[in-house]
Amino acid sequence: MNAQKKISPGHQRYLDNIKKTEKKKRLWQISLLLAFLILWELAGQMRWIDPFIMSQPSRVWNSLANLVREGSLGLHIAVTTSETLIGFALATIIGLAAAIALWWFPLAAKILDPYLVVLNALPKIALGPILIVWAGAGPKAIIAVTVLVTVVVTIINLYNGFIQTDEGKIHLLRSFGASRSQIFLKVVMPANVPNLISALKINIGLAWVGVIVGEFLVSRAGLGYLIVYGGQVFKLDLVMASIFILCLLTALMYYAVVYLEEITMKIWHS
Amino acid sequence: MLKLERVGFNYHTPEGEIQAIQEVSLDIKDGEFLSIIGPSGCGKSTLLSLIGGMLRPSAGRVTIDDQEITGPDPRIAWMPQRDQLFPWRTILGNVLIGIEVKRQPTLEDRRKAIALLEKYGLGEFIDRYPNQLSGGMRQRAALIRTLAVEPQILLLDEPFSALDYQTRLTVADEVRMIIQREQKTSILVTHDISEGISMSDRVVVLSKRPSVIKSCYDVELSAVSVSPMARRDAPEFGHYFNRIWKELDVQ
Ligand SMILES: Nc1ncnc2c1ncn2[C@@H]1O[C@H](COP(=O)(O)OP(=O)(O)OP(=O)(O)O)[C@@H](O)[C@H]1O
Ligand SMILES: [Mg+2]
Repeated sequence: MNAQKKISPGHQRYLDNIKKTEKKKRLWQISLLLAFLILWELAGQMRWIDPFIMSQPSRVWNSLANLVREGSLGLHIAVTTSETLIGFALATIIGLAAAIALWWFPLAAKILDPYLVVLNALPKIALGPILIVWAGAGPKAIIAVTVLVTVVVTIINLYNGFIQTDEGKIHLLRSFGASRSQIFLKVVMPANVPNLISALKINIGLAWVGVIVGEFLVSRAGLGYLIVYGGQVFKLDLVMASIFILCLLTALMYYAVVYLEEITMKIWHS
Repeated sequence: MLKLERVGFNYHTPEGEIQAIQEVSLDIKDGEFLSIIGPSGCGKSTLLSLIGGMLRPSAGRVTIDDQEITGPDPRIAWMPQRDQLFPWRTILGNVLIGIEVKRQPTLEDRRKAIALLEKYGLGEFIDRYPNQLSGGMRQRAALIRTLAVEPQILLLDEPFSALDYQTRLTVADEVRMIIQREQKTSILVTHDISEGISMSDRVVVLSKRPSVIKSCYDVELSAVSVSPMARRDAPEFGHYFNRIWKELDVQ
């Protein structure tokens, strides 16, 4: 609270310690990665492993450079990213709307419960071929797979959050004569903001699963396509390069959601 | 004048019917402070829900000035056991929630709410969030939220039971003084005999479930103020305490 307050030597030591641990942590994280890359590279150079099958960092790097030179890397990234974002957004919106509807009509929720349970347990990817027939072998099918993979979990998580809203708070609002929509807007929704954020976090991960699987099934471009293609023609360097890019993209998106979470929670005040 | 006329209530569950309240009749005068004491599970909260229009009686009726209550009524406001302040709203936002349910709060509403908060020592905390307040302050904020809708009748369901003993005594004192100044009719549900006697004009003792009124005590203490703290020191206090204690004991 008080910035000018003098820091005691004991507290200073404590703070220094935190900083030191933080530095140590970073150092180890970077060293581990470097050690792994160097060992991998070395193992390839010394023929401990077969670089043709196991690839190696220098070859991955060359493969990446090639993609950039050809000018296709941007396209593949754009295709996969846009499919992911569209699938993610659609699944979240549809899931939220469905969860609200289930909360609004408890009888519908009771009726649909077994269907949701089965849909949730079903590996959605099994429906991939049907979706390709319906949506055509293109980005539409990929987005459909993504939505399907993501939406059921979203509905179930959000709906469970909604019905677990503190009865006491609902009762309080009802005592003031609140209508059902007021109860939803003034208690259920705000109380579920943390829930919604955690749903977003889960969805972003699932959306990536959906898109990559979708691209495995049907695609002419995208990182999933590159991975499958690379595997088929035994270009393991290309596969590794694509996975590397995928790692970067997923991390980036995950941290974007975490950042969103931090801002919202600051406003929300838990 | 609030009247309960031969009110009865049954809960229905798949396991069967639970007769919570057998028959209760009560007249509560305007400005009166009434306490309801009874064993756990005897139907005290149920009785408050019936008065507040949250439940409809299975038998009999509840009226205010001869008008039957059929649903939540703007003349009645309920203060729950736990404060139920919304953590995502500021204290002012919490206090305005009751008005928001009825209409868009006007500048005048905000001004009044702020005035109430200032009057009762929460002026500095208007823009703070509930987690920045102590338990006693939160309970006071919950009371002001109840007062903000300008009800005639306050329903207090064990409003201090979540507080530790020390805080409980001071908060009960504050709440009683605030209610005195705001001139409200109040019905307090409590487990605590001393709390009931020290705060009320009248104490009603309920029987075990299905509940009926076992007895009624008009509390007349030779204390100089309505402060529950002062009233606890009145010479007659122990006499009421013992009688109600025995009353609860024999069931
Ligand atoms: N929603 C409900 N459905 C079924 N039975 C209920 C319900 N609410 C309360 N009851 C039953 O009705 C009886 C009275 O409940 P109530 O909550 O009014 O008691 P209480 O006197 O307020 O108890 P406590 O002192 O523990 O708060 C209890 O036996 C309880 O089991
Ligand atoms: Mg109760």
